[in-house]
Amino acid sequence: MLYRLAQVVSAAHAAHAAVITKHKTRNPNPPQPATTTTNVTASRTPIHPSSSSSSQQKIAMKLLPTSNLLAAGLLLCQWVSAATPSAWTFADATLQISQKGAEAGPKQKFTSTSPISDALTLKNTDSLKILLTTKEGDTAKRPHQLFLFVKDTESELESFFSFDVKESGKARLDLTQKDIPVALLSAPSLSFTLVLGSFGQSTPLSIEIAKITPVLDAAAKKALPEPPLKYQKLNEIHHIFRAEPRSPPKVISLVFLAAVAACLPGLFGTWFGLSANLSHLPKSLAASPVAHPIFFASLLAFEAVFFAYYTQINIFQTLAAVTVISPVALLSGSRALREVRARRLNGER
Amino acid sequence: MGLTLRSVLTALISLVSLSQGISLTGPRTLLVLEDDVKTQFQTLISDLEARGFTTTTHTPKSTTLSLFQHEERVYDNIIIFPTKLKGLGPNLPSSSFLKHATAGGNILILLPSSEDDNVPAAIAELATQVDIFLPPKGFAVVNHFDLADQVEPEHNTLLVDLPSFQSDTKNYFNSGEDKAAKLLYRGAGLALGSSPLVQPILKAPRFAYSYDTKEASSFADDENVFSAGKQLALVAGVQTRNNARITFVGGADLLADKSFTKVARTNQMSGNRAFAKDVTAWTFKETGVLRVDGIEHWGEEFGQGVVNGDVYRIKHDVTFSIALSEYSYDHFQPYVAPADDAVQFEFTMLDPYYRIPLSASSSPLTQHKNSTTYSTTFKTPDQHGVFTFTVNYKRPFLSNVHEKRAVTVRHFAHNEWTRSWGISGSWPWIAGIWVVVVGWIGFVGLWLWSKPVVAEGKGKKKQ
Repeated sequence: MLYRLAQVVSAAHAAHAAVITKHKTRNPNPPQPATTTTNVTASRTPIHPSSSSSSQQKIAMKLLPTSNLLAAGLLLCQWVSAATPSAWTFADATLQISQKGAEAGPKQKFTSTSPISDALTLKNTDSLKILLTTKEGDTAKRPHQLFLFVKDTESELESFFSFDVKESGKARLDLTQKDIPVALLSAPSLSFTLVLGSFGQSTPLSIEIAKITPVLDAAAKKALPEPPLKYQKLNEIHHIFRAEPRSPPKVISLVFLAAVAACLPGLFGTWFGLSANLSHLPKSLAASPVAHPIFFASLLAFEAVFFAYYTQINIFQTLAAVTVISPVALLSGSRALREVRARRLNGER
Repeated sequence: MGLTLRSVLTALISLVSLSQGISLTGPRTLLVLEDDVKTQFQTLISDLEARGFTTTTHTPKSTTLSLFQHEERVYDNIIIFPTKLKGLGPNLPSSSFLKHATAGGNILILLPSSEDDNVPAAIAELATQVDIFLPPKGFAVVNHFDLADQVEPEHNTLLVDLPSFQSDTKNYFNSGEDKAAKLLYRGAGLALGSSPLVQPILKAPRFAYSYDTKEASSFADDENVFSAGKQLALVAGVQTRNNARITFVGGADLLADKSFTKVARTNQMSGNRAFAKDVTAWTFKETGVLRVDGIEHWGEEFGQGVVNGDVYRIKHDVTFSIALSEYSYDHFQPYVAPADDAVQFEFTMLDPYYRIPLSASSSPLTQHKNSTTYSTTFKTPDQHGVFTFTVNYKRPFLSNVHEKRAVTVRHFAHNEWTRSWGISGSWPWIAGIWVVVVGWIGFVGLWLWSKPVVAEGKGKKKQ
């Protein structure tokens, strides 16, 4: 009966076909046209059949068909009472964290306006207890919903726990680390939100009561399962190349290069210092004018071929060149050496 | 000859699909419903027909209904409407739905909105098989915080915001004009497993909860609450590994005619009709389907002259590009990845050596009209072997892209190494060789032509 009145008002003010038909099907009596006169006042205010005004409304229902004017007036009364709607709240609320085997920790008090500001931690041996009494307005009463929402402040992941509530509104929640889902335990900080709500028109309440950091010991941290596979962007991987082969500083190489190169003038210097000379060259050329230059040129040609092999040509080209030069060197060499022997036999060497 | 025939056939097929301009799976849609239910969903059905779907209606108990004929799918899409029956008919066991999905068909399942109605056993079984959990009969979602209707005593018509996702997920479910529109929802809700194939499309408001209306009418205690808050899904979509889609709608009223109205409290039109279009479009593959239009890769060695070659060298720059397009109702359009997401590319031999993001290329090698070309250039690792260019792009609500191209990565050829004179540490050794060469030539010359210096007396200078 209570709801019927409210529905009529709502249906009229909404002026919406579907909503009206929906309510009509539930309500055997068609809405009274008189109520449309009050829709301006009723439109923005939740009409709540709360216990305090219920007797008033019952009277209104009885009188409604008889006098439109009276009904309008009574609805106005109801609107006045609705301007101070009752709300769900709680009292005598405490939160206590106590360690296993140790003395119970201090009771932290909190109210719907002042949450716990202390930084709290929950170790794996700790148990957390929340006690409170729920109230609708000023009377202690049990709401339909009394949940503690626990949210990871970073990932926004949220879980919930429901309280044990007696009819008198006395509520209790015990929580240990074991009860909290593993996905939340690795969070840097957990936000505890108390949520009270129920059917009827009383304003529900949600309030963050505390921030708690779960503390995991090393073993528990290791035992945390891998998060489940999720289709998303993966971490980037960049190949790390092996270090390039390194050379000593160029200065050192250049010093030793100079030292090695200096050996050549040193060598020739020593030879000429020991009176080496090329005095027999004209004589040899006169004795065998073909063999000597060709022999020496073929030796130079060998070196040139080896240089070419080092820089450009391949082994087959090298072998071909050597095959051409070798008989030349052999023939001219034997002639040249014959001339050298002739000089030795003449006692000129 | 064979080629021309095939191209003519392809052209014909594409022409046919163009003229229909709908779902990539196909237009044949089966509606499983009883006649009295059909009247509640007139708009949904006529909207589907207007988009080109052809509907066939069967009652759940129909004896003539068969999802397969000659082992081929008879229907492309199936919509199961809520029914009063406890079970679907003998032709609709849960295995038939799985077989339908395995063959690539899509399924949209509407669960009853009223807590007094049954969920058929076959549907509940199918749900568990795809990692979705339904509450038993009698559960309803309530929200005391944001009442859709101030005077409704049950508080079970929910006002839900249009879905929003993390910034790396593409949102296919708020295409309606009014982004602030609220959805009207009534139903029991769903709980989802941790499978990556299951995605919540619509989540419950933060303080809403699903409770047993029979057992916990006065107080929602721990045992009689199914789930609450963001953990409670209202609409969930499954995309199987072969890209078939199965969507569960926790309360059928979400898509029913009676929800396509104004919201009493805000006096605005509800977003349900546009949302219904989005949900059916996603489920029946009108949105969120990706297509690879082309893959090209080339290396530093041959430049762009040799594209998609077989061999690359180690430590050479290689460019890889992939052209992606996405389907939107009746045409393919360039696919643009969300800002915080990235199309990632892997260069793999057993393990990925590289996993790097591909960026949209402004000057691709080959221009594709309706696709975005994503590309990147990287240096092949100093490891030879058979590598794979891999693009494994799996994201919520998008069809899977898994492309692989194997190539050989060879070592340096013998003439590609640094020459000895290029290595400063070798300079003294090279100099040593040339000193010996010159010294030997000089020695030969001196030996041939040096004249002995006659010392005092008859002695001979020996070398």
